[in-house]
Amino acid sequence: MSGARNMLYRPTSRMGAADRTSAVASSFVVADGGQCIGCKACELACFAVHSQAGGIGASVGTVSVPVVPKVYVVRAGDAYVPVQCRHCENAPCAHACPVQAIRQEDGVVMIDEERCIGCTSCVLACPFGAIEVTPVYRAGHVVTQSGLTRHANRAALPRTAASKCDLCAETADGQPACVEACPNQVLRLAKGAVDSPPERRREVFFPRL
Amino acid sequence: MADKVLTVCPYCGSGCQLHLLVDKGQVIGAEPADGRTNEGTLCLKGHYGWDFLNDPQILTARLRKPMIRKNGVMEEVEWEEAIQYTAERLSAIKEKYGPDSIMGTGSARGPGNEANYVMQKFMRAVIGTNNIDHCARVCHGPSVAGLTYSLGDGAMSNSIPEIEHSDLLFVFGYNAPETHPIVARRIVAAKQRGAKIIVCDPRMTETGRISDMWLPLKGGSNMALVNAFGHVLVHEGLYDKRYVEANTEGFAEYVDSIKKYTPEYAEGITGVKAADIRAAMREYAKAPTATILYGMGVCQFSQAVDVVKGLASLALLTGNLGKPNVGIGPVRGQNNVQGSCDMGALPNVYPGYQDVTDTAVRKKFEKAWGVEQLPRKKGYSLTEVPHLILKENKLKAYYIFGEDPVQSDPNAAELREALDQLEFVVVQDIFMNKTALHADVILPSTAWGEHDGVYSSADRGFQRIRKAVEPQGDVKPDWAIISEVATAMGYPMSYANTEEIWDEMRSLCPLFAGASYQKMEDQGGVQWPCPTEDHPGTPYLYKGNQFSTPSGKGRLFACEWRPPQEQPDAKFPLVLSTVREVGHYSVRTMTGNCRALRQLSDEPGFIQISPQDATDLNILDGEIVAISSRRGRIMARAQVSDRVQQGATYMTYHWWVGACNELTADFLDPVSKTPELKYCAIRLERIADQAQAERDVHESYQRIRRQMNVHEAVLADKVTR
Ligand code: SF4
Ligand code: SF4
Ligand code: SF4
Repeated sequence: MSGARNMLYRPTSRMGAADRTSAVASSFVVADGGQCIGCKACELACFAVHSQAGGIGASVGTVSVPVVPKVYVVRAGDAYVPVQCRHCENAPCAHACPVQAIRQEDGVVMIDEERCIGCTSCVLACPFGAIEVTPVYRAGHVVTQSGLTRHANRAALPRTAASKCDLCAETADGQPACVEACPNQVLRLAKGAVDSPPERRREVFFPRL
Repeated sequence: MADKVLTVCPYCGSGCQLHLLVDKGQVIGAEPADGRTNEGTLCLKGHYGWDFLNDPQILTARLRKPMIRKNGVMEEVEWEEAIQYTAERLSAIKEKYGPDSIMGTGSARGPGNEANYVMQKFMRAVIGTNNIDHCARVCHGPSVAGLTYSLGDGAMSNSIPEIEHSDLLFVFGYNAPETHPIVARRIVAAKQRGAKIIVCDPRMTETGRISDMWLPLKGGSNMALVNAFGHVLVHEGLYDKRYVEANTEGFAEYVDSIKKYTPEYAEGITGVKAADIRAAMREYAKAPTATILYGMGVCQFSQAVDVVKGLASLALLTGNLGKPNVGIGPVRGQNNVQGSCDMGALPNVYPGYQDVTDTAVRKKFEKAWGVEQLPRKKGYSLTEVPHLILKENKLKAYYIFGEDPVQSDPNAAELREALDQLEFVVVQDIFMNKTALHADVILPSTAWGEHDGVYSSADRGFQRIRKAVEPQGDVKPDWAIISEVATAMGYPMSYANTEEIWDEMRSLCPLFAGASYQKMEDQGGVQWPCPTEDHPGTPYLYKGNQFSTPSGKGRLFACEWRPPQEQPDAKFPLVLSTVREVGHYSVRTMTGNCRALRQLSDEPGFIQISPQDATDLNILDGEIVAISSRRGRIMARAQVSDRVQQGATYMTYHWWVGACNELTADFLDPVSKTPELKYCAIRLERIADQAQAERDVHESYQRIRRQMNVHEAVLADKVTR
């Protein structure tokens, strides 16, 4: 790995409490060039890490929840590209949120699942398609809404909330799971505007496919 | 804190090493290890492919207890009864119809090399037949036959890490990103180092996308294209004259055979522009080091062996053998296909590729195994089995071990009929599967993660697999079960552990003699040939251009192109190819029972079609469609893709509802007996009532799961779509 690249791998501000106050620029995971082979290892790694909070990621057995990652491997023209939240400096999703469920914390744009009302304003506002509104799971079971039912069969509807990349906020070591899982080193944690020289940045944002 | 157990991934042949994290007797995760081929990386199957060990019954239930069919129903019995019954029935059939009326399989998957060694020994020494084969027949059989003819060994001549350092990769009918993500990583890395990549594939693939040249040939025209390549090399004088003279034979005949295959002539057959054929070979010949990689797009045709020989000839003509970072790589699809071949689970060779018709070899095995006379003639091939039963009435019993031919082999309906006609069918496996539905006896065995052993990676690398957890239920290691049946048949077999089996095997195989457990432990793995204790193993074959052919020279070969056997017509206008999907593996009993992998894609599976065909047939992306051929009819979801050429369709063979092998034809390559899974004629029909179609799919899935012993409670609890 070249020196320039190593620079971009610098640990993020979430590594230690002392660092946190100094963090300004957002970090985000970017896909490099056209090297992605569409193997989806990143999607599964993302799902596994985030479902740990719901009590199922590391457990085994028959608990069944849909695989809903926060990184999406999509076809763009001829190539595959993994897409996830850019943690915008001036986050349109946060501006769009009517209940202030989206906030910026140490350079990470986070969604407060509890506060989110699932109105999809942020989904529409995000220019990258990084947000999905998905059912909320706890311990492998879907959380339902007490009052709201589907009229035809009176089944309680699932509680839904906006879901997107939070740079693996819930893991201890601060390294996003997708970055570690990708067998092709396609993904890396970049510290956007500050660290990267302009030419490098352009390559990051508009990968040569 | 979790324990870490170092082992090898049970899925594709890349042979990635990983640590299983074990807590309270359960696997709770996997971490990449620094294996020779994977160097600290894994694909999604390696990361999340261990969940099946916990028997989640998502798709099918683990086998936990021996079963015998009594009055038409499978009943659980004790081991003693199951072993005794199996031994008695096999002995009676052997007595009545002779040893050659019994067929056995090896298993290219979880059981490992030792179990395969024991199985072929059982068939040869106890039953007295060479009727042993395994599923390499449906995949890389042509590589074994073709490369053995051309070069002397049927395996990859190079090693997986070398791919990265080759100056040119010539990829033919091989989609590494789907089949071997970790090999794909080497291809990407080679590209980054400046290697040229040339891809021959009817479909645009990920490798095609990063290639310098993509030659989209028509399905089934391989031989014509390979001949034209040879034509360019010879007639433009691009071949290495000195190398050809010194190290090959058959040049004159070769030149004669390719004479008519001018690029222009081949363009008419293959659809690849003559200029591109020329350009590709100019690049290939120019590169200081070049590696050919190929896969099922070469092997699953009825002219596969010829094409394999043709590809080997290209490497021979350009001198791309016998040194590092060059060669020809048939990349094995299943974790231990190479291993079951190494162990002699083949009808024509003993372990270590020693010919069954060679008297000296036979004498050696007779002595070692304490048998007066081992069978002298070659056995039957696996793919001939349906025909041998239905048409020739030659087989009476079938011992199927770690395979699910009803799912993986062509023309499923015919195979089912054949199984039902047999007098006795033994299925030894870890999961209930479609083949086990036709069994008389089911013998439950331990899975990967529950036993020790050795796998051979695609590039001839022996690596240790280790037991991580205690098996649940009344199951035994495969080698122990086979040994017990042998003993009950009057041939005492007893081994204390797999190392004992391994050492017996080594003592009989000069090629593997130095590859001890200890050496695998110390080095992380050993690539064969490894003839002596102090030999470190062999990353690439044919050093000094010494080939393992009888004359020591490489043999050049070309022959006339023949079109595939079943051509599309008015009634069945489209061509079907079977392919693989990255998140699933083989017959899917393992990956389909891994929660995360299963959720990425599920029944009924996809059929990829071109946008033009979709428009013509009025089919939308994601709709369920009906697909039929002369042999069957199934349903699958349409996936409209601009990577597919008009008239061609692709289906992954992992699905149970959308089982494409209900459609495929059993035309075989005459030499390797490998079926033409990449080419049969089908028809696609729109289903008007999509809601009903979705319900039908759901119901047939539930019905299959019920047959697979999935608990009613599990079935009731869950939505499976
Ligand atoms: S979700 Fe979209 S809009 Fe919000 S921060 Fe991420 S990329 Fe920006
Ligand atoms: S893991 Fe890497 S190569 Fe695979 S899909 Fe994700 S980004 Fe692409
Ligand atoms: S499936 Fe193949 S590439 Fe993936 S981890 Fe296993 S051995 Fe490696």
